[in-house]
Amino acid sequence: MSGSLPDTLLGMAAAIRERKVSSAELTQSALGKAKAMQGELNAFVALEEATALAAARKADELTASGDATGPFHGVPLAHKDMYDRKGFVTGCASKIRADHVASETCTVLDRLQQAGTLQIGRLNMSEFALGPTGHNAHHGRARNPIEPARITGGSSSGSGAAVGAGIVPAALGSDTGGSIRLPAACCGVVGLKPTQGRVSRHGVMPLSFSQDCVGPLTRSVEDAYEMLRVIAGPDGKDMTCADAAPLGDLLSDLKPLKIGLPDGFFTADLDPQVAGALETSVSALQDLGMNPVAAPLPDLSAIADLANVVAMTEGGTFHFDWLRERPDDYGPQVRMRLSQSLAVPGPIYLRAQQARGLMLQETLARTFGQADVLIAPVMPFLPPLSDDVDVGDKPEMASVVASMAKFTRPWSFLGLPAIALPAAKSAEGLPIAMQIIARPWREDLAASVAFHLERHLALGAFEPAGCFRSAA
Amino acid sequence: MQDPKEIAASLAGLYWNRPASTAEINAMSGEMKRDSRTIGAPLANDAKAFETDPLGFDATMTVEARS
Repeated sequence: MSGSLPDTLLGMAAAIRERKVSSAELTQSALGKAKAMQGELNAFVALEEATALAAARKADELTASGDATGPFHGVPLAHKDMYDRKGFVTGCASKIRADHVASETCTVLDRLQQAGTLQIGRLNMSEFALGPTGHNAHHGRARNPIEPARITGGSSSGSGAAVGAGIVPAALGSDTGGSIRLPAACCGVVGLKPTQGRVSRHGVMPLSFSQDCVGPLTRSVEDAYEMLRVIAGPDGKDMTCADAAPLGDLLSDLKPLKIGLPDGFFTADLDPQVAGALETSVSALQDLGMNPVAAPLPDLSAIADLANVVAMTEGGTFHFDWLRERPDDYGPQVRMRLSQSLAVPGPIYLRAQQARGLMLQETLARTFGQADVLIAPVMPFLPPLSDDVDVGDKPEMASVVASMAKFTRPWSFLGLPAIALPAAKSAEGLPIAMQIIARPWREDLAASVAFHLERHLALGAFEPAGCFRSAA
Repeated sequence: MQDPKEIAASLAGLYWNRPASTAEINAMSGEMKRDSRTIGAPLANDAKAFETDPLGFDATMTVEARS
């Protein structure tokens, strides 16, 4: 192919389909970038060069014979190290599961393979998906492709880094309290957390079963939505995956929709540049014909504690035996956080679940009685410097987690879909992200608003830092 | 009142059959203090806890999926 290669999922798929580029070319390019950047970026815990190139050659044979059928045929991706593939290691970026070889392929990867994608490696992540900063005691942190001294966000740190650096056009992450949206926000890409129960978790590492969601990080809203459509839907292997109405096409017109502006919880103590980006985004949505309305929310003052109790209790259940038998094999922060599970009496966990149901009902009646979708920043501040939030197992850990996930956890706790997208560039050149939130099962509304906002703002891709550009 | 750190150490001994690290004790005692203050606080009225099914969240999501 002459000129530069496409850098989006849909762009690559179209180029392969139109035989402007081969899967092997794209895969070699992705592997080349991954290897060149790995020393600085540390996005991968494992590269799978031989199997990826073999899969790419096979994809090209199918294209040549006219037998390519999937919508993403031949596109090279990489995924967070927590998705089982038969015969491959799923390490959860941990020491404890470092040698775990899966006996079956998880449903989401099976669906992506059916759609024609191939995988070039496993991506770094916070150990066991526990950590909003992306630090990892075993593998080291992935670095922010835009400014390496800053965090990628977590827990899908490698997913944010690899997509943000342009190594792959898309990657699966997972989101329990912000783990897709925070890396997307820090790395200048799009992240889509679906409704709780929209995507199968069969064969996916568990953390908090009532909050875990599988979703994509991509370089465009349209890519994220189309990838979600491929992986979503009921699954006989995961009875918690709902038989909800399939996802429809994105809306062409936003005029009938009301955009809700959440009250003080999401607007107090914002960095001035984040506040400015919120204002700009709301103004853009008005330009697109949306009507802004006040969106009263339930009392969210205890949300951090409520969400933490649910996440740590459920996580501590999965890790109970290893916490007893192999505590020294955890990184210090993960061990410390999971230990919180032992300090939660049963009635406190169930009381948090009671509060959750009440808050959801109130949100549906009051908030979504006024608005079709909501807009809020993903974080109240710019992507932090790594040194400022690398607290390990110090007591400040709880406040770092609470502040990083302040604006993402509420939507996870309420099970709502939310899509994060870059909305502005700070004076320092850093991404500032907004999230669009919808009522359950209406990812189509959230993604439609995000799609038109992305087009209207026309920020373009964030350029990787010079050290990564020269490496690639 | 017993120090939450002592409770944390006892829980680790009982359930894990090992001593808790200092970081674990701090995390567990911090969790107890936060939760007793926020989640343990009274709900909207004195019968709310009695009247609210903890599975209400899942039931509401299911209803929404069908609507």
